[in-house]
Amino acid sequence: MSKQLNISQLVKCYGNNDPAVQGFNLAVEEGEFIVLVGPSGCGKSTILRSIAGLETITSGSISLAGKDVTHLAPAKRDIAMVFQNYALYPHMSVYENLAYGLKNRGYNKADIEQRVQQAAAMLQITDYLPRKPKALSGGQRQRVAMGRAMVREPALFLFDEPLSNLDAKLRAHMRLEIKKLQKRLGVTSIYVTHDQVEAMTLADRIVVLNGGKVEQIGTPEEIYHNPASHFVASFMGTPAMNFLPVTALGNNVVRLPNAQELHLNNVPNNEHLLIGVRPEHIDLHGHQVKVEINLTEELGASRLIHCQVGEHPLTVATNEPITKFNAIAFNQYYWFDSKTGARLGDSQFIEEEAARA
Amino acid sequence: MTAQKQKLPHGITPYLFILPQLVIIAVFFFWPAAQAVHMSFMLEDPWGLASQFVGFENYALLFSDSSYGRSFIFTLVFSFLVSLISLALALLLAVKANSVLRAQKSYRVLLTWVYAVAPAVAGLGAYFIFNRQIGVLSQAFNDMGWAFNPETDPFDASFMLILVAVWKQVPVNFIFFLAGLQSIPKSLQEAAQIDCQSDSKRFFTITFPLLAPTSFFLLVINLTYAFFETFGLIDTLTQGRPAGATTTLVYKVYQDGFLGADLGSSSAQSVILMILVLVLTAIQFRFIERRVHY
Amino acid sequence: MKKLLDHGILIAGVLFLLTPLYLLFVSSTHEVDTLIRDGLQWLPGSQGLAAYEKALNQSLGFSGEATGWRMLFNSLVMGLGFAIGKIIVSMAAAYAIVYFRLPLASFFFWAIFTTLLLPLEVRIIPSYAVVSDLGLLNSYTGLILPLIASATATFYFRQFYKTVPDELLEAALLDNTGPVRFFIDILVPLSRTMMAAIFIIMFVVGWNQYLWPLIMTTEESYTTIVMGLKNILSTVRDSHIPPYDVAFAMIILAMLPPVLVVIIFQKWFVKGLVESEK
Ligand SMILES: Nc1ncnc2c1ncn2[C@@H]1O[C@H](COP(=O)(O)OP(=O)(O)OP(=O)(O)O)[C@@H](O)[C@H]1O
Ligand SMILES: [Mg+2]
Repeated sequence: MSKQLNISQLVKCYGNNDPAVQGFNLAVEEGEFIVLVGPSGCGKSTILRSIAGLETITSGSISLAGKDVTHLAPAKRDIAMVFQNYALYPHMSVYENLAYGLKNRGYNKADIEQRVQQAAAMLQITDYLPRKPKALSGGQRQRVAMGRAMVREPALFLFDEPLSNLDAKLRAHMRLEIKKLQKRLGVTSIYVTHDQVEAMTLADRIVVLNGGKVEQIGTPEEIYHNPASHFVASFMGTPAMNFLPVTALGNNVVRLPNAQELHLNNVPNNEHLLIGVRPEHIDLHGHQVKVEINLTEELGASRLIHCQVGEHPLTVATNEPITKFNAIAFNQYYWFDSKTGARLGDSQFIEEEAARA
Repeated sequence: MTAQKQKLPHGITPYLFILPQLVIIAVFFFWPAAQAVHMSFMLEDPWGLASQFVGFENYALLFSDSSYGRSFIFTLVFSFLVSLISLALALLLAVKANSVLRAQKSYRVLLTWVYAVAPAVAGLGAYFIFNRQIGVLSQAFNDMGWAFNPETDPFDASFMLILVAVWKQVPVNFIFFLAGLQSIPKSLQEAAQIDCQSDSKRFFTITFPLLAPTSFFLLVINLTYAFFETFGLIDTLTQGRPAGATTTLVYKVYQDGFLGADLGSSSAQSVILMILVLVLTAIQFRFIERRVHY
Repeated sequence: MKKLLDHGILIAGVLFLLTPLYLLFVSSTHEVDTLIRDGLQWLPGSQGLAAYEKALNQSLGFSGEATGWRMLFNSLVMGLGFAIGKIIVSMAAAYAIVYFRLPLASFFFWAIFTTLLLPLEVRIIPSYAVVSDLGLLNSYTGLILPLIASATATFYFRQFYKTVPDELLEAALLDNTGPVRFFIDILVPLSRTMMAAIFIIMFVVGWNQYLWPLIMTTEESYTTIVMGLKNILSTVRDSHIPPYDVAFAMIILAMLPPVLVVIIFQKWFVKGLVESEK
């Protein structure tokens, strides 16, 4: 087994509260880029900090490069971390910031110099080495934080929302840089974000978390095309998936919120049935489901049209220059149990994933 | 104490860090404080050779001693007058200093330097300025028809003491009020300017309520100051004269204990003062708690 | 018009504070005879700074050791020793309280906190006894240590440490930093402005001590300039020709160093005062 990182049955409780993480399992291949994504408070940071050794875990075990590190001090784990607020030492120059960890590990001067220069060149911060962090822009600080992680050439990179303090444009740029850098260095990485675009673009595999539990683990394609649950389907993808409560009438016929009856494929037999349709999977010329148009949002290349099916909102994404229509069709759709949130019916991807884990 | 700080793993290190402070407060704070309490229940002969337990006798004697009562009342009146006058003056100056644009920095320096003058130095300076032989103020008072004589007239002596104490205390209050005023967001002041035309009305309905927490907190600081830190002032300016009329409680602790060598009584006075400070602190604490919510 | 009134009030305030100082300084440049005859003077006299020369070099006491220079030096030791000692002791204690999970943490906290309640003035006599028992009378140690036994600065640093982001410690932990290193390499440099601010306040407080040095020093070589004023007072009272000029010079000399510190480091001073009283 060439698993670089193996986490099994990780549980973390703060004080006497309910566990923030409840039985987390993850196996990461060498060189893989894993993104943990989920809403605020779902336990992403907790998992990351447990891997780093900054939190003592309640139970479970963590091994890195074949070594059990569960009870090791952070500095002994061969990992590096990039913090959301960068946590640069404000009184040290950029050079000293990069060199500090190496110095504390007893590297000699020449070695430190060489590593710092190399990392700085790669991150294009060579010019800023003598400066204090205060004299840098947000993006530059971000690079320095990355540099501090890189110089040590660790076995594992940990990122906790490293881009959330940047403006949208810089964020998109740095996202790309991080991806390129990670591919180039080939270091196994765990990346935490609550931004699902970041998750989709960066990850080899995404871990979707909710309330301290894993909702789904899979490649971005799997997560997008084959969400394992109502939560994943609603959380991943922009604009978000539409959900309409429907009643199954038998013989693959359902009644929509606007009282219309519609024939669809593979309708599961369930009392609390929810149909999910992504805005981009809607055919404007379908003439099947009657809708009322409320509002159109112009996005340039495409547009979002906010409609209503009975009392329920439905968003349509299209790049056709159409603004008027009154009946649509669903090209692709998913079934969920609105009570349990479980995905119903066709779930081949989910089974594949289960077999892999 | 809901510190959510990440805690370091430790062995003996933190104990070494905290040890100096603990040793110092044990030896120079807790031990003397305990001694004071202990001695307040003892009667010692004037040579300090023998002492005997007398229960609350020292306290009983104090409460029946009219000079202690007088000192108590003087301290309270003195403290409140000094606090109120210096707070009012400082608030006026701070509001003005905050509103002028020109020379604001110079005003700040010129109105705060007195903080660094020791009370004893202020007292000695005042001694000369009020001096009947060479002082200009006593001269001026006499010219105005006020036969100013702090050596014999309790009112004159108190007046002099309060004036100097106020002089010494205005700068501290000024700094806090100015800081308080400057921490009021600009946008809020601008909003107030739109809503309310009259300057003075705006001050009393917007600015002053926002400063109320600062003022209350300063009142406690000022009372503490008037209680304790005026020692140097009194010792150089009046030494409690005339006839103990300007003796504060703290000055009396010193007089009875050091000059009068009545350790039991002096210790009992110390203990009473401790209780007073405790009350003041409790008030301050309640207030700080409120300020957190505010 | 309103502006004029504002400036008028401010100038009145400035004059209220400044006039006594001016009066004493100007009078100190006059001959003693003039002062005795005509009282305090409003305009500079003929003697220049001669009185200061006398105040600095002449001894007022019996042993000849308590010259102005000597007293200034003692005050300097007192101010610096108190400020530095207090900062070191408080920073270390606050570090232990904030950054470690000590079993006795709340006991320590309250033990230190209690010291805020009782100023030295209240426990002055037993303090004298303790210092005397320890053989520390007439020593700089005895002058300084008992004054350090209060927790103002400890609370100040505790407050500050709590605002230091946790991530800094975490980054340092990943950088293989131990508790002592973290304190020296990260926390102390980060606290520099805080230290400067509290230093100013503590220096002034230390310099201005009066009652404590008065009680616990009997040797003139330990006289500080502030407590030395007491000797001036008795000299002036007892002599036929009171050396007013020297007395005024001493007053100016006693207030000058702390006042200069407060003026020069105005920004830090204000910060230190406002923060430490919180
Ligand atoms: N030090 C702590 N003490 C007590 N509870 C904590 C602590 N740290 C986190 N928690 C709780 O644990 C849960 C998970 O927190 P965590 O920081 O891992 O969330 P997160 O997914 O990183 O959220 P965010 O996106 O807001 O950063 C939350 O409910 C949080 O309140
Ligand atoms: Mg987080």
